[in-house]
Amino acid sequence: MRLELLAVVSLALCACPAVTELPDAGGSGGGSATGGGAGGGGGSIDLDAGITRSAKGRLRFKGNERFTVDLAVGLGGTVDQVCKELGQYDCSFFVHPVALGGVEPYGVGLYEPPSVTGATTSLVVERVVLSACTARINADLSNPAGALIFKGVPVSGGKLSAVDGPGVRALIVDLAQRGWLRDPSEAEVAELVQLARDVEVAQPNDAAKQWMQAACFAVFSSAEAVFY
Amino acid sequence: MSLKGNGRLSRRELMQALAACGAGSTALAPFLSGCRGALDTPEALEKRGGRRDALDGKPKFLITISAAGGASIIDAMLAVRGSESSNGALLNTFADAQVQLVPNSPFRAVKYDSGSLGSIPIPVHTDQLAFVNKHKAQMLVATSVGTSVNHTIAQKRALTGNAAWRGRTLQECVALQWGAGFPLPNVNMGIGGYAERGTDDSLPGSVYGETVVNPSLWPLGLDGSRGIQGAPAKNVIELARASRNRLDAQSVFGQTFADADAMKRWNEQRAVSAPRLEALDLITNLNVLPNLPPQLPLTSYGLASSPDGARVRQVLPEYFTDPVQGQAAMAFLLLKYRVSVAVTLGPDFNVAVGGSSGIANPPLAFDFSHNDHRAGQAFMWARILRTVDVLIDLLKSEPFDATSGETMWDRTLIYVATDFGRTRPRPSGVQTFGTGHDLNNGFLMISPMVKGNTVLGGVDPNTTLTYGFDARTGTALPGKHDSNEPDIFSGVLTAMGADLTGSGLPDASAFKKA
Repeated sequence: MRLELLAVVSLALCACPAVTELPDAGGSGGGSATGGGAGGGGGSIDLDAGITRSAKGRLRFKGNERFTVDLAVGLGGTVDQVCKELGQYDCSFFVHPVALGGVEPYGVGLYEPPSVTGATTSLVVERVVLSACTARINADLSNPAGALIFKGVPVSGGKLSAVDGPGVRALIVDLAQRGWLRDPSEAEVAELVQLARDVEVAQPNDAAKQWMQAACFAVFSSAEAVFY
Repeated sequence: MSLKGNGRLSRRELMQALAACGAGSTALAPFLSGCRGALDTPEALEKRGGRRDALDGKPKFLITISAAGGASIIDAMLAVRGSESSNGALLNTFADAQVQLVPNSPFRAVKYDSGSLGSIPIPVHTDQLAFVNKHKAQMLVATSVGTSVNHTIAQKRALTGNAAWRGRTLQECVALQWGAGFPLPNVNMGIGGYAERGTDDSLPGSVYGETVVNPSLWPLGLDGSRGIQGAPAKNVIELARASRNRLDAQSVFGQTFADADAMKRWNEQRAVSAPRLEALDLITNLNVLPNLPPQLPLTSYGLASSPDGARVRQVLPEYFTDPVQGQAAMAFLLLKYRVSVAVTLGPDFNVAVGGSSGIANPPLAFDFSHNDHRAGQAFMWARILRTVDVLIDLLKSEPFDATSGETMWDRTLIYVATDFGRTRPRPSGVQTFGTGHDLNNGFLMISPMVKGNTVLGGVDPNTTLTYGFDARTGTALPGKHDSNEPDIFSGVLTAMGADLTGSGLPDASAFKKA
C-alpha cells in the first residue's frame, strides 16, 4: 500500500507543469535585449534565454521610509524635498505614512506596518513620485548650468528637438539607472521614446517638460522601484 | 458488499459506494430538502442562523465608535444612586441628585460638575440627560462580561466577539454583507486593537479595513496627480501610467514576480481600485478642509472643498485639531458618498488641545479613570455622546432613497465599542478616586434597527455589577455573570439584519427591533 501511494505521488509530481516559462518572443521586441543590471558589469541579458518565475514570490513593498529615501537619493535631493501636501504637510511621514506601508505608533498605536498594500497605496505612490519628479525637473530646467538629471536634451518650441536623438536616450538611461539601479533594455528605451511621441501629440505646446515628468513618473512609480 | 479482513473497504468497494451515494443523493435531494423545509419554523430558522432581512440590494451602514480606555456603563445609562445600594459609600455610586431618571425609559443620565479633571485644572460640567431624552427610543444597552483587561486584546474582542465568527470583525462582516460595489467598504480610523484586522484570512481583500490616521488630510491621497503644483495634464498622466504598466509587464523584475501575491494585488489595485477612487472625485467630495491660506491653500493647488464641507465644519468646527471631530466629519462623508459601509472612529490616548476648556481629549481617554474616575468618565462620555449626536443629526438630514423616503440614518447602526468596564470600589464616600480595569460592563448601540428604549440585562445596585440576559428572548438573568462576547457580536449583526447562515453565532433576536 505504501509503495502504491509512493508511486502515485511520484507520478503526480512528474506530471506537474514546469514553473519556467519562456517569454513571448514578441514581448521584448522580438529579439534579445541588452542590459547592464546591477552587478552585471555592463554585460548583456538575453531575455530569450527565458526568465524563471519566482516560485516563492517573496516580494515586499518598500514601506514609507525606504521608498522615500530611495526616491530622494535617486533624484538627487533630500527626503525633506520629496513631497509636501499643500506645500507644507509631509506626504510620507505625516499625511500618508500608513498608506505607504509605514507605522504610526505615537498617534494611533499602529506598531506594525500593514502586511499588504492598501487600496490607496498606488495613488499615494504616484503623488509622491510626481511631486519629487516635478521638483527635480523644475530645478534642473530653471538652472541648466547646474542641472543634475534633466539636461542635454535639445528643446524647440516646447517640444523635444529630436525624440530619437542621443540626448533623449541618455536621459532615459540615466533615469533607469537612478530608479532601477540598472541599465534599461532596448525595449524599455523604445517604450519611453514612444511615450515622448505620444505626449507630443497630447500636449504639443509643452511636450518636452511633460514628457520628462511622464518618463520620471513611469520609472520611479514602476513596481521595480517600489518593491524589493 | 464485503469488507476486507481488517474491516476496511477495498478501493473498488469504496468507489462503488461513493457512486451509489452520488446517484442516490441526486435523486432524493429534492424530496429530502422539501421535507426539511416543511419542518422549518421561525424558531428553527433562527437557531440555524437563517433569520435575516430580505437582501434588497440596498446597503446598511455600521459606525463603530471606539471608546478607548474603558467606558463604564454605570457612569452613564446604568448609573446607580447611593440610596439604592446597601454598599453605596464603598462603591461607585452617585449622589442621588446626580443620577437623573428618564421618564418612560429604563435609562439614566448622569449630571456631573467638578472644578478639575484630575490634576488638569479645567472645569468639568456634563449632563447626559438631553442626549438620552433625544435618542432613547433608538438606544439599546446590553450588559456584558468580557474576557480580557488588556487594552489592545479587549479592544479587538469588542469587535470580534472574541473570535465568535472565525475571527472576523464586525466591520468586516458588514463590509462583506453590504460593501460590494463600494470602493473602500471598510475604513478604520480607530486605534490599537480597534484598528486591527480580523483573523479570518478567507475574506476578500477589499473587506479588510483601510487605515486612516490623518482624516482631514487623507483625501489628498485619493488622486494620483491633482493638487500637485506643476503636474502634467491628466491625459499625459494616463499615457505615463500606461507606459509604466507596459514597462512593468516586460521587465525582468515584473516577469520574475508576476505570480507573487503582492504583485497581483498591486496590479489589481492600480488597474481597478485606483481609477475608481479618482473617478468619484473623492479628493474633492471627502475634503472637509476649507480654502484657508496660508495653512490650507486649496485653491493655489487646484483643489476645492467638499460640497458638504461648510455644513460639516459648522457642526464639527474643530475638525482640524480634534482628531475625533475630524474622524466624525470623514465618517459622514464616507457614508454619504457611498464610499464605505463600515467606518470606525474614536479618541486616542493622546492629549488633544481644543474645546471650550482648552482640552479636547485628556491623556489616555477613558483610561484617565486611573487618575480621576468620575471626572474622566463624565468628560469622555460627554465627548462620545456629542459625537454620536452630531453624526445622527447629519445622517438624518441626508436622504438615502427618495422613493422610500428613507434617510441615511434609517439604515445605520452606531455601536459604541469599548475595552472593558472599571473596578467598582472606592474609599468610603470619596468623590475623587481612581479605578482599574474590570471585565463587567455594558455596550451602547443606537439605531432605528435596534429594539429601542431597552436595557438587556441589568445592574445589581448592591454590587454595581451588571448581570446578563437571554440574547434570544431578552429575559434578564440576575446572577448571570459569565462572558457573553458572542451575544454582543451577534446582536449587532442581527439588529442590522445580516445573513448569519453558517456562522454558528448565538441567536440574538432580542437586539433587533420587532
